[in-house]
Amino acid sequence: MAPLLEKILSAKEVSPFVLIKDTLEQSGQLLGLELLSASSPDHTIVLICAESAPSRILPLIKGKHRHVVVDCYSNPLGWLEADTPELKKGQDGNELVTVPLRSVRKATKTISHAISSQNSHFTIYFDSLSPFLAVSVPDTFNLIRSITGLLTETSRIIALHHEDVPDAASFQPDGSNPLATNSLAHVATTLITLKNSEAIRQDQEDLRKGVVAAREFSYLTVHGNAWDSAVCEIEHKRKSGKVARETNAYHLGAPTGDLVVVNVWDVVGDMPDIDKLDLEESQTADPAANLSFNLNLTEEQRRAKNDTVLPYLKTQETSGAIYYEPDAADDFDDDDPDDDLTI
Amino acid sequence: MSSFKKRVPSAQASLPAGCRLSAYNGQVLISTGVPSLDDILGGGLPVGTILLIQEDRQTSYGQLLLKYFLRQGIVAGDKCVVVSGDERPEAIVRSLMGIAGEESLSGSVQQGVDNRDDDEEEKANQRRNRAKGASGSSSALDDEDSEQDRLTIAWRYSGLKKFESGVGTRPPAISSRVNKGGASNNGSEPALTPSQIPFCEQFDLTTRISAKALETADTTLIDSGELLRNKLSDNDNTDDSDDDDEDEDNYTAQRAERQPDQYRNVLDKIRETLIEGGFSTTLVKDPSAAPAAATPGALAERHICRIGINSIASPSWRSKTPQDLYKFLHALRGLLRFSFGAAVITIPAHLYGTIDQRHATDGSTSSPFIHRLEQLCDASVRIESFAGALTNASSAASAYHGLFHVHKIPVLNSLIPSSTKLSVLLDGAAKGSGGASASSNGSGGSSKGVNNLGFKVRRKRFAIETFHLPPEGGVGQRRTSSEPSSTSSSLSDRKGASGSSSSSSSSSSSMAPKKLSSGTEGSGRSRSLGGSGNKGATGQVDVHSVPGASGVARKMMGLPPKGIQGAVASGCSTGGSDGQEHQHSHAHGSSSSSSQRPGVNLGANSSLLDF
Repeated sequence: MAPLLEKILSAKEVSPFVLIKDTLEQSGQLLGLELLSASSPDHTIVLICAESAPSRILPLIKGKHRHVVVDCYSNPLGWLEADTPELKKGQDGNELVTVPLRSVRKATKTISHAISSQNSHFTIYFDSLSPFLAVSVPDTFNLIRSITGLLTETSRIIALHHEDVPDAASFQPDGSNPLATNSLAHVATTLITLKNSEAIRQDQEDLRKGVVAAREFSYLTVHGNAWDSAVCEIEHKRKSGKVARETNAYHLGAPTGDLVVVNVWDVVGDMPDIDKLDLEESQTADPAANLSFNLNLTEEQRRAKNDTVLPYLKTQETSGAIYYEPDAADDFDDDDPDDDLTI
Repeated sequence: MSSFKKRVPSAQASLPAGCRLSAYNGQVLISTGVPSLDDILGGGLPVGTILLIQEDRQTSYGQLLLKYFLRQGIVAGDKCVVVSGDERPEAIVRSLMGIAGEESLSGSVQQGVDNRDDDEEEKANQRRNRAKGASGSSSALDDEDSEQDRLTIAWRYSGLKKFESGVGTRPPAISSRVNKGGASNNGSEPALTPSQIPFCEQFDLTTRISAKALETADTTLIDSGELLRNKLSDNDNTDDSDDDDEDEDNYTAQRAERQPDQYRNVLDKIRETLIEGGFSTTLVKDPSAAPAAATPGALAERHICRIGINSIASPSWRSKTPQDLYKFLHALRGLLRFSFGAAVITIPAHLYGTIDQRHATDGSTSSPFIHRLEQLCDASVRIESFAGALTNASSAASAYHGLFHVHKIPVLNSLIPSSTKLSVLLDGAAKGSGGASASSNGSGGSSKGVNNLGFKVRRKRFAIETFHLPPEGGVGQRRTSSEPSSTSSSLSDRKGASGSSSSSSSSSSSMAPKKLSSGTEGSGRSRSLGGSGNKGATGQVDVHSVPGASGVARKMMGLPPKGIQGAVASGCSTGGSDGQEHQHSHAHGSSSSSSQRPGVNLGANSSLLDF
């Protein structure tokens, strides 16, 4: 069976909203762009750049799609002379609109206008949701909601979210607001959490050795943020309500540079498969297997044993009764138990 | 002339359609559409109360319960108010299920429904019926059955009632339903007299609600998202005109000021609906009009207003102040207390929590926010489905779709919730000695404890049952099931050592081999805990075996075991939350040993700690 990630990449699994959660330890940009490039060629790609310049991202997208670029990067606070929020043809055939990120709500209007003016199928790519969330969490959800409303059958939203970047609500934690991370996971149909494969491999190593090396103040390690491989924990909600959960890994194939999805064990190394171990142990759990004496019964012996009439079997036929004859040694309490009551 | 009057049956007939009186305290009850949930709530949802359903992370079973509630309301001809922010309320109403046996326009399959027919259950029912009918004459077949499972050694137990984990599809209490054939042929005809409307109809999840039923249904749809957007766009229009030039601080301040009070708006709409429909007993549409005469006839004409709120406090709801939702629930509860109405609210509770818990996958939360909301509702349940759970405990528990946690049950006009006396599922022990209704259910008294409920969704029913493992589990099956064994207390009572030893071996196997001794030590303690619990129990206490096991099981499924420290941490945390939950559920219980449990849990966990 093909790995789940591959099915999502090739759009065999329908998933209108793919959310990639990454951290500083492992960036998800490669996977995000790979997902974007894998979208079918007749899709228009709506690229919403909030974290990096469009000119940097555009060359990284493979395939010959039409691009619509919403640039929230160049003029985030609206300090530059504001353009009219309308699509303009760029010099390379892409349509471009610049939106300040000062107000997500205004950006929402522009973005949804940019999307609804497209008549073909489209794939929407957020290079990161974190800048939006840093401005306003509820407005970002409003943005997602209004975009989701515009989606057609085959369209897809791909969004990156930096899990370790605080959002606007996390500066004043207030139990009555849903956590942004959880809410995003709630809204998304596919949640891909990226882990660094080297870190996981080391964890495995530690586990096998039985010692946990103390790693203080080492959030970032030398091997952190590997560009060519990562482990992805995927949680995919199917339309039927079933939830698939799988852990895959990817690495870049040597000559072509294409993304190769593999089983997680291939990247991380020989991991003790707990399920398998479990199974093995349960199969060898028969305690009567290696004994120097015989505890088993042959069929004949069993029949003989069952046919033996034992005393308790007789009592089954008659109803039980207890006969009790008072004994001289019996200690009867002659006192009236209620004598303290004035009855 | 005597002031005593003979009690006439007309008092019974004056109930609104689809209602019945609680056998415990005479409260007017309506059905949630799910017989076993009715049972848990003490026969039904009392009119004037709010039921809070905490959704689980991956699935929409919470919404399914809400749909049952609304669909039952449509059957009874009740007013249905549907409030939704995530999904359009029209879509929810259109996707309601059809009545079992009724022709439906489309055979479209509802999502996420197990289409397995409940063959075994039907068989079991047949057998039960046969056993009932054939008292003496045709007992040949029964003998055949009983011959097979005749107990040779423990023969004294064969005379006992069979252990049953669920409630019958039809609650046997004083339901006012007529014969089923008539009801389902013209099920949604309003021509039925109130007494003919079933208290709880049987629905078929594979069908959709018929167009005719939709037409006759009296619904009010409130799209809270739409409300919000309208408000926002109003604001935006004004924004565009004047405050583009304003500086930022001013802008944000204004924005906060202008942010719509969404909960307030929804509440206003609900109140309006209640008053318009004459459901409120204190607030009337026209104060000058004479108050409606409280004649029995008028009461029978009356309908109930069912309020269903889907995914309240999800990201598409927005509160102006942190207190908004508290105020909303408080006001709604006050409104409903004096109305012919009841509300079912689902909430994605897993979205809330502290930062440390943001990765909690089982949908549990210890967020004070959610706990406070629970306090503001009359009943609170939580769904924890196995779908996508990190454990593969589901392999052993494949008969169930998830666990069902009861946090709070309605207590109205009494100190003890009525379900302690009436419910089969909650506290079966009290029930066993409870009297006539218990024996008519034919269920054994072995399903004690509150936190061992599981649910399964079949084509024709959503059943909440006492969670237990399949009796003939092979060794392998039992091994992977440390999670369920920690919750199914009645089973661990029965299976005794085998259950706890299986989970002990699983906990030790997931650790490094040299930790084996400590693993068994932990389980040894838990076993002794089980033993003492059994001895001291007067039939009230449920014993959760192996505190750390659920954490370990959860851990087992996580991709890379993060080392032993992780295992201990997770064991501790789950143990703690278990204890908390337990206390919660036993808040009204009388068992003294329940208060000891968290302490014992801690002890067992610390034994894991000191390897």
